[in-house]
Amino acid sequence: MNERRSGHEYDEDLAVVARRQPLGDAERSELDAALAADPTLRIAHEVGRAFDDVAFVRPGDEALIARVVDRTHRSESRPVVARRWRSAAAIAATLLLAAGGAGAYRAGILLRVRRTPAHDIAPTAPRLQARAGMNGHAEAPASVAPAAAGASPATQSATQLKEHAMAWTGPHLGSTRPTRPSSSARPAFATAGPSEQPPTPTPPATASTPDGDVTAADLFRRAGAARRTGALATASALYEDLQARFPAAEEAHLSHVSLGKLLLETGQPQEAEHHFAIYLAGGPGALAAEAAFGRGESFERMGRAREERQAWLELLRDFPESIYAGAARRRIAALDDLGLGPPNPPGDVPAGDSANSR
Amino acid sequence: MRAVATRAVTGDDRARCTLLVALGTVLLRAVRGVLGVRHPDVEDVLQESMLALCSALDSFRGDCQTSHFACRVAIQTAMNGRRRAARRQRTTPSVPLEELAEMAHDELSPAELLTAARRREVLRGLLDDLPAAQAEVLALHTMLGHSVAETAAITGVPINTARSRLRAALGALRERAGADATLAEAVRGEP
Repeated sequence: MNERRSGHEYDEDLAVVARRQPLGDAERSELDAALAADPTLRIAHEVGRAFDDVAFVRPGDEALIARVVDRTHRSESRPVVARRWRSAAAIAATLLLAAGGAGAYRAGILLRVRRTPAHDIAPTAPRLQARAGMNGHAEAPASVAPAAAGASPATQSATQLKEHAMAWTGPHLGSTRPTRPSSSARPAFATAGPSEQPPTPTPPATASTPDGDVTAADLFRRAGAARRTGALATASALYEDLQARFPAAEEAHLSHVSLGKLLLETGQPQEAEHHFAIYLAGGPGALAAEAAFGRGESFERMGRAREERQAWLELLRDFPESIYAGAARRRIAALDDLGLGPPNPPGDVPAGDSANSR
Repeated sequence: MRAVATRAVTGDDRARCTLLVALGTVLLRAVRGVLGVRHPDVEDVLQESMLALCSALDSFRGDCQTSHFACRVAIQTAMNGRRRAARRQRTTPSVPLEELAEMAHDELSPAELLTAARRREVLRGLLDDLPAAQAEVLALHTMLGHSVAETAAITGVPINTARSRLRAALGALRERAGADATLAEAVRGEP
């Protein structure tokens, strides 16, 4: 690590400042030079930024803190003042968290501003709506109910989707596809919420090929890099290669959503729907709500109103709290208004929070 | 804050309550950083951190900010909690996919989400293996974004000591990063 004493005592500190606030031109140049010269600093910076991506302040934290403060107090055996303590904790938590939350929100916006063009900042609000529960494990949607509860709707849905995916005989991906502008408002990634199921052991992410030199992670990373640079055909080919060579790897499973979105953006909704269906057929996953939304969009692009309506209904059934629920309801209503739904809409749309929109 | 902490040390229940609530977000952020946002032990470890903070207040001499003192207590408690959890569950997935649900950045692709999650796990895994002093400095600086000077003040050591610990920890991080595909680019210096 090279020391630089112009603006900050150490390069490490400059990297930390860059994570907190936008740098001036001179500082940016200084940091870029330091990162270019020092691999250790680069790694530390990249890893640190990965932590910046996580929202450490979440809705419901005030209640969580008040609850834990109360428990902490009770564990210290001061029953006489417990009630007063609890009330004071709740009031203080509300006041302090309101102020702290606003600051954290601004800080979050700032982080996003650094990485995101200004016109892309608007979808921040749905990101907050997508989060449920106070501690990340207290609430679980029906879609990820433990298997012991019997065949959940999500499980049934997964079975149906698996059959659908297996029966699919659509055209294979071509290597070169015409591109078109992506849809105007891409939804934020979200899932139905936390799962109460224990983490499922996954195949080693670095499983190597028989020739031992390419890994699933390599292919996943290269495909993502190609997609980001606009080499969509290359990205598609790499995702397909990943799925063919490492069918059991977690990267291959996730790549069905990535490839589905890519295909949707490049005007291939039928192929996109196939990949979203494959992902969903694997059972509840971290990107399941995203995949369910992609299926609905795919059918919409194909003009298959009946299947589209069914896809939205499944999304509402399996991910009622997701940020896509509002969009799904609106789309069902639009289909019904246009007479593209069932002859007599059966009133099968689950009621939900109108705030759940993207 | 320091005045509240002083009153809390003397046994003022209301002051202690106010202090814990005021420091709750600091404690929670540190706990979530070390354990992971959706780790099932977050709430329990938060309570442990609060209890540890109450116990440690007597020894707090005001050498650093109260929030920094609390942060240090929480990191140490959370690192212990993480080691306990690791013993309970020997096999952990290569990437905590449940964390992907926390990152609703519409500008990040699934691949980028996975990469960021992996990078966090690389560092968290390193916290388990490094000597405690180095792990603490690494968590404070790289994970929570404290400067070297702040890290030194929090841990109560001279700046040069904090920096040498950080350099040792980052050296270990670099070594580990060489074996991780998502960080290999950074090792090689690719954009």
